[in-house]
Amino acid sequence: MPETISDTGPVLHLHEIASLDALGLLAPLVFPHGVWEELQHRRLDEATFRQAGLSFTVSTVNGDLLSDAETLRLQPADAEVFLLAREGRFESLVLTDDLALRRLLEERGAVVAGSVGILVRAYAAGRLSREGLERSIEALLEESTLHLSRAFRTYVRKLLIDLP
Amino acid sequence: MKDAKLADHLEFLTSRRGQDEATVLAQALRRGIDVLYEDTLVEEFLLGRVSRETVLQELGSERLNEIEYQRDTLRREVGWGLKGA
Repeated sequence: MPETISDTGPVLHLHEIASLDALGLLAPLVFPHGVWEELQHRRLDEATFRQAGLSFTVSTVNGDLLSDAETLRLQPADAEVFLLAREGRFESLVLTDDLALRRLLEERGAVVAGSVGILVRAYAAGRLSREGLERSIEALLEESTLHLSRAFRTYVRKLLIDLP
Repeated sequence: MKDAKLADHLEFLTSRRGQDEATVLAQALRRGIDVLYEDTLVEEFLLGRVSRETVLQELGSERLNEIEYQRDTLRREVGWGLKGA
């Protein structure tokens, strides 16, 4: 199974709504060192992932983040995600809820998914019932630290209604 | 925000800006309405009830591009998710 590089956001948001196991379909995960530090700062440790049945590795990124022109506008941990994806010629799936990082990755051909997509995939794969998906998305929108304006929260709900 | 905190913030604003409460509240109302108007306009656009032209006129092309990118991102997200079936 190919590796999945993850930013802090989707892991944190899914953890906040007790849906970390939705990432099981995409494991093993690779966290750049900066992302792992952010997760630990938010009290997600090895035991958290073990309990969710998720395997992961922490990877050190080569290169100087501060002097890399492509990552100048990104936060340090996001820049590490980008550089790790670039090391793999953007062939790995990348998980992020950050729009700036996402745009940069997609412009280079990477496949990117975020918290909403991960939950929909868990539903499509039969790991979540329709009711479970609706409950999880609602929790994601209203209880997690994922930032979406009211307009886009409404739009996500509309997309959910239109799902097969 | 709790009322007490709101009152503290209002007091902070009047004292630091040297403006009376009515002036600060009028500014807050105007800014608040602007924020709510934009968010509601975007919501109506995303639901297909307001035209792209209207959003372009009201919010400008840069903001419209951002909105459409985020909308398309969410569509792609869901499409990607469904591929796991």
